[in-house]
Amino acid sequence: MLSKRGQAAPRQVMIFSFILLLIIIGGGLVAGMFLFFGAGYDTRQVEADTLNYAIKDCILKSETDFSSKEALYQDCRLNEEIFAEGNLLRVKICVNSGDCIEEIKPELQIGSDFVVCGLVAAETNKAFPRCKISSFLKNDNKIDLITVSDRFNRRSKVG
Amino acid sequence: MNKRAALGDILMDNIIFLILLVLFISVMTASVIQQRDGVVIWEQYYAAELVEIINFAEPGDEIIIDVHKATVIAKGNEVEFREIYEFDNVKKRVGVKLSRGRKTYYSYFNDVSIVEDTIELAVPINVLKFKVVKGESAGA
Repeated sequence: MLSKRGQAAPRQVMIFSFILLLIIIGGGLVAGMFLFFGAGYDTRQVEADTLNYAIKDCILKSETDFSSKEALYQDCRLNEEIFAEGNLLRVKICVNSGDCIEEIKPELQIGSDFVVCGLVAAETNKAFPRCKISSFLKNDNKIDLITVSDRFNRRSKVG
Repeated sequence: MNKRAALGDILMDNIIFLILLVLFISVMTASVIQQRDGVVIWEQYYAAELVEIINFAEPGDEIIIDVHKATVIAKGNEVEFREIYEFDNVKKRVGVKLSRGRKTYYSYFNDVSIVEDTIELAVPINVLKFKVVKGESAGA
């Protein structure tokens, strides 16, 4: 005759298979919703383009000293705090450089890792941040401007 | 074996299963309801579009945006119109709320502030109006 523990054990073991079943069903529901509604609204490329345009416009229209971060923030009306947020928004300015992506002595650099902008695979892989590279002339100097965005919006609980 | 004790054990096991099942169904129902009308996507869309507009804006601009879809969704989720959009001029971010309990935030890099934001109804559609002024950090 089985002891009480022996009688209870098979029923208690069943709880794991039940939980596993719930996980499978729940996982299936979540996967279905994700597939239907997509991965969210990705505006990183738009943001990189917009930032690039804003800084380029500022450099061309004003006599800002774009070797200084503070001058760039002030003259181009940029929110300094957003650039301090964990390398999500990056800016690199090179003057008369052969390859701004590889340039080790740029005129100005906010953030790090601009190598991703030169990777062909990064263009189609959504895991990589989005880049915008532009070149223009100012006072007979060739200026290369690289802007990078890796920011997503956040959904938070509110009262 | 004592029949009453055996019955009690079976009942206890079933109660545990039922509690787990109810918890699971509640969580799934809550998350599915959240996805109703694509609330999450629309919040992200409006937040991103507003941020893009603000990033391009200059002090002195007055912006009018069609937010009819947002107001329809918010009304369906019993969210007050005045709660839909939040402009935080200190943190430089936009908040969009189309369902109760959660809000989507997105910050902008343009150092400006947003003032006089209102939603006007039936003009002939529902629109959001706001003015852009110099940022507080720039000493407006």
